[in-house]
Amino acid sequence: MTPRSLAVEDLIHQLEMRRSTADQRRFLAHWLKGLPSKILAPCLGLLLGRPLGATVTVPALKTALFCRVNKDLFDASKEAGSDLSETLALLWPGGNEPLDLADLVAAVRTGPKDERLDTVAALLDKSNALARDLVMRVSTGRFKSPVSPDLLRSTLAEVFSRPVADIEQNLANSEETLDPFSSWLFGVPFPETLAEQTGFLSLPTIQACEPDATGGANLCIALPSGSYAQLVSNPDSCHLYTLAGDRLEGPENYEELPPKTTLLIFLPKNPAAQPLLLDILIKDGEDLRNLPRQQRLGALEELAAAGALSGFARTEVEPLPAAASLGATFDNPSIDRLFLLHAAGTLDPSSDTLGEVLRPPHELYFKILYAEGTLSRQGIFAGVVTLGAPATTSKQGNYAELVPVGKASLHRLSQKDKSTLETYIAENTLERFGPVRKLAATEDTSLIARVICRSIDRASRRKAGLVLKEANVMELFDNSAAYRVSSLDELAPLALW
Amino acid sequence: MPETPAQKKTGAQTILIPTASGLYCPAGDFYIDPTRKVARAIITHGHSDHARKGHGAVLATRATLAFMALRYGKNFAGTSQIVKEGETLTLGDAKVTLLAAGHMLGSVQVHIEHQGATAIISGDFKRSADPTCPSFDVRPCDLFVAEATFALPIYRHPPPEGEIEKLLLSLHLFADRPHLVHAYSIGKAQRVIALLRQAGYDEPIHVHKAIAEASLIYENEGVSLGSLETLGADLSDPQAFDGKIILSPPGGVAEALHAPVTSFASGWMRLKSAAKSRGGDLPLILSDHADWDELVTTVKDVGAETLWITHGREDVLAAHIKETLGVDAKALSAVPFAPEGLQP
Repeated sequence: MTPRSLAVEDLIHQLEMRRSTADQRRFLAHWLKGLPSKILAPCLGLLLGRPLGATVTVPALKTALFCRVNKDLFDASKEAGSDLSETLALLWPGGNEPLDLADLVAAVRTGPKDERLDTVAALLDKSNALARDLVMRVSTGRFKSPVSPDLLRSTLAEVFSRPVADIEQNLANSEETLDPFSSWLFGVPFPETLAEQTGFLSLPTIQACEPDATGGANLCIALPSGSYAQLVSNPDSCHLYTLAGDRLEGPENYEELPPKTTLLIFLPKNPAAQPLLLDILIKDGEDLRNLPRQQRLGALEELAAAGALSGFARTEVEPLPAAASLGATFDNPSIDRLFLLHAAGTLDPSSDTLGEVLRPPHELYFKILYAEGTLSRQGIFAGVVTLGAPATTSKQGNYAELVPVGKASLHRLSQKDKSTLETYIAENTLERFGPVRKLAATEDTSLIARVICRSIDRASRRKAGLVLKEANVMELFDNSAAYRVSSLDELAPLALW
Repeated sequence: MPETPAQKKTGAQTILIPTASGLYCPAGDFYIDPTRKVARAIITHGHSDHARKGHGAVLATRATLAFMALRYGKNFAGTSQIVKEGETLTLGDAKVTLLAAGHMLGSVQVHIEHQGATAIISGDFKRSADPTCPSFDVRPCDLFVAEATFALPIYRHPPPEGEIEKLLLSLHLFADRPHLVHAYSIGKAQRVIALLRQAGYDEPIHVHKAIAEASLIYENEGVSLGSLETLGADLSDPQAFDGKIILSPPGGVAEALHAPVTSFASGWMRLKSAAKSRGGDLPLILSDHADWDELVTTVKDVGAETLWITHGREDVLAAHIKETLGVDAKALSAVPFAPEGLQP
């Protein structure tokens, strides 16, 4: 079963329903991959919040609706609780066709003004309910993009394997219309002819693909010693594809790969490929994942020093023999020569061979200030907590000065820790704001969270001056672990500028 | 015997009388889906708002009786009698036929004929195809008593195949997370399963115990639902369900799973406000009730002179039907209760 590509109205609906940015990213990526180049520009314009301009007014649309539907039915339906655009859209006796965004743009932008209502009405007449809702909102200027420009830009960068900076620059240069941007994006022979330009190789030795600490899936690749390493792709030079039968799918962000996927890494001949080994997870059967990261990197260095990874320590990769066809056998015994061992000991982005790398997640400790979740008769089932850090490094400091640094999800917590949290909420709630509980977080009483977050960003509007991104609480400790809590002073250097 | 339409209309309206216990047929001395304990009841289907325990004698389809026994235990009524869909019985002076309603397995309309006039009580029904039960059987009548759960024109259900496609797409994109679909344990859950099977999904589906028990009745009635695995102690390993579909009645289970994609299958998901508050990540617009178009079409199809409407926005549907079809339509609650002498 290959799921169909998403129509734009389906995408908007899914993006509006999904609360998680990571979820939205996956939908966006899937949609972009199935998007014909000719409608990329209007779709991106829509998602970037570049309004097409209000073409028709709501009263005019209501009048047009009342030519088709009894006004009493409108009044009764409006009472049912749906918003105005949605009521108009659902009541409009439309068809079943998906939305052709090019039609909508043409209706809104190019047609004579006095004919626009008729054109929009004709579009509504043939569109399905979700499409009608979108048409209503766009044509009346009520549409608000459900995704942030940052998310869209980074997803475009992933899907089209372009640097984010290039995406931003080209978008900035396409203020009037996004057609030049679309042409630029699709201008490269991608992805159809990529296979002709590159050699490729499968990695049949992938042993596992486990969710990582931040909820994504890391690829664990078998090393010659029987150990496993964490692979991070360099988006500038490495494209990851999945193989389904003899058909290629991708490129995929490595975080999106489902478990047990056969993975292909396409390696451009020029410049040389640079997949990077950044971490070692299991060494000779020993699970290292609970060790501090520095110790794991040390283990990787030891492997390198012992010569087990000698084949990896290369700055250039020999071009691989191009396969005759995509259906050819992908097995290749020279797999170990693909990897460049840079992570053993250094992750310095200024290194001339590493280039830009995906930063590893941060592991930090915070105090829990607030818990938020679903109310029930028994209390609250917390789903999210707000984390706090003291302003200064002094561990005897005044804990009244705990500053919120961001929210973290609890879905990675064990049942035992969830129970601990529920008990703590029940016994240490200071104030209640609907589903939010303010919890005791003093020098003597607090709940400490071990948190993994993808990055720490600067946030000038927040009191802390920074915010955690994609944070997950992994484990809870009692107040005796308070000495581990990071202060804002310590966090500041970690924040991305 | 009534000769003219006016006589037929009057005759039909005497077939049924509203009482405090529900609709009563004096000619046959029975109630349909009574809300209180009565001596004789015909039950249209197995949902708890229609099938209640404690009646003296119950007449229903085999599946409906099985659902009642599952919910209330074997002694849910003094006696029970199985009637097949399409089979005609004589009860007192009335001839009663149970016709497929298309709502869920075992659901029926009650067709009553008395002195040349006919009445149909639809029970809950829908017109769209459902792989788990026979389609709605259209028969002409003089009085049609229709449910109207979705009696607003904003409620037009999309094709169910498209909703299942959404679920499968999400499963493809989020193969590292379990997909928890909340659905009512009798009827809706089995329809979701059957639609998934129709769409080619042949992996085992994990189901809550309540759904598993009801699904057994479906299997016994010849509705194949494929491989189902009952949720049990294995919930202690929340990650074991990554990439799987889990069906559960609303509530529970989600807490025990690892980062599930949550979904709710219901016709109410049509409105974004409801979908956002109750639909989880993936609201599925799947209803076992007729939508607005189906309600209007059905009233046209049965050609009744009189329409009594129950549940939902009766006023809206009644006004629309009156205006567009000229049918004498009113809310069942607006029909006067039986005079003292006619009360059982």
